[in-house]
Amino acid sequence: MSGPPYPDTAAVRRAVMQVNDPELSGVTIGSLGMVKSVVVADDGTAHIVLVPTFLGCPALAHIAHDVERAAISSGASAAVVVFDHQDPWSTDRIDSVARTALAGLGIAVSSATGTACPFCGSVSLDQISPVGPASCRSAHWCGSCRNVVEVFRDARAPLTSLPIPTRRMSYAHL
Amino acid sequence: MREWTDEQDFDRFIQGDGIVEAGDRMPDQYRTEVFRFIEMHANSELFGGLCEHFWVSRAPGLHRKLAFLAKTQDEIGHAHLLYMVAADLGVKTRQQMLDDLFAGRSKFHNVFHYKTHTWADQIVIAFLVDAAALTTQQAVLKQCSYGPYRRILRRIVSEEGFHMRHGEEMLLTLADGTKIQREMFQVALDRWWEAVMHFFGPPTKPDDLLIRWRVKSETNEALRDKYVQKFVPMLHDYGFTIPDPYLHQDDSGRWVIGDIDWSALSSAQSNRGEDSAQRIARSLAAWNDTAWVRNILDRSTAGGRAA
Repeated sequence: MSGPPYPDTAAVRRAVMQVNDPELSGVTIGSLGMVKSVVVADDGTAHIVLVPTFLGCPALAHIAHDVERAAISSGASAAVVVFDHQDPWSTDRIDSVARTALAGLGIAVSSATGTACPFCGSVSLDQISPVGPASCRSAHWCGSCRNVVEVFRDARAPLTSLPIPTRRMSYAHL
Repeated sequence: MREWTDEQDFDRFIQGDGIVEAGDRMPDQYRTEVFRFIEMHANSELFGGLCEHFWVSRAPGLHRKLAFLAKTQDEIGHAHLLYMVAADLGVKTRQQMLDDLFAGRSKFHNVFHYKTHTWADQIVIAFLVDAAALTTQQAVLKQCSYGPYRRILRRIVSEEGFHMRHGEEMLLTLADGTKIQREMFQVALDRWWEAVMHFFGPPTKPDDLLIRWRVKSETNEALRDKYVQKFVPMLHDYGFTIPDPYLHQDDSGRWVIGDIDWSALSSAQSNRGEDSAQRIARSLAAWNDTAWVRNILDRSTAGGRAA
């Protein structure tokens, strides 16, 4: 083999994991569980497979661009980023670091045992609409602390299976 | 629920970085001022979304169309959440806010009172106007005293940062493009620069309640100046000319703009801008066109959850 010494897979992987989600400040794609695999080939090319949180996510091109730059700045000679559409992302992949950062932004992660308000901890959130400003999140009202909350939805759950808003008293006035 | 003995007591609370919550017994005037500010923000997000939506079918290429579609959803989504926080203040219901908006009785940002003639006009909005909006929103977020608004703003600011990145990418495409593309952007810049300066508003009055109660953290002119220092050199670097014959650098190198003629802003603020009537009519049409979706939701909730 000729060429400069190429970084090992672990070093490139670390750099890729640290790439920030372009729409959520302080949340990395590694913490969101979007990085499926990173392999550095003998020629120094990093092959990276990412799992999108949502099929039609508008940020994918930007994420791919940032990941390429991160891989190359960590020493890879080139980077090839592929999105895996076979393996559906789910909210189970979000780690505790991202959960804390998301809570700071007022975004909860959906949970079968009751989704808690990131501001006051109440589990009686009322869904207002199945999608909010982003397709991956639904909009809710917390009747306890009177704040608007967004919930990261599980991409595997089809829109039609979501509860239809039931104009409960907590937000009937809105 | 917290109460304050009098206005001085409330002022001390605000000056001590206090955060007001929805259930607090806040002074009526604070409630009204905060409500008006959020209502205008919500209206502007809605009009911003409709403005982006207009360009979905016209944007060049699938990539741009997808981006405009996503931004439309972002802006309408922001409006949706902001209307809830505004309505919760109890001054007007969401329906009253929409009725007032469609009847031309409400305010929305000046930039949505003018026509977008070309794709470059839309890029000015997507980059220069979004950047102006972000500048003002960041200043509100810095010390906003109304908790529910501050919490939504944190997410909005984070998302607007992403929009700006997209806007800058579009601007760079024109800046690196053909002579025709560069000229098209220059014409758009000439058309919009004054409106962008107006966006920050006329000089803030010394007794401004929004500053006193920490909804705004900086005066309009301070924010305009911050913007000018950043974007004038950037636009120069891209090879464009700012349409202001009095623009110059002072001895310390700071950019100083010429006197601003406020007449166009006054017309826009009273909904008498060149495109005000059409924009308002289009927003009402969009609302009516989507009535069937709301009807389905209402019908399915009348008998509990849909199957």
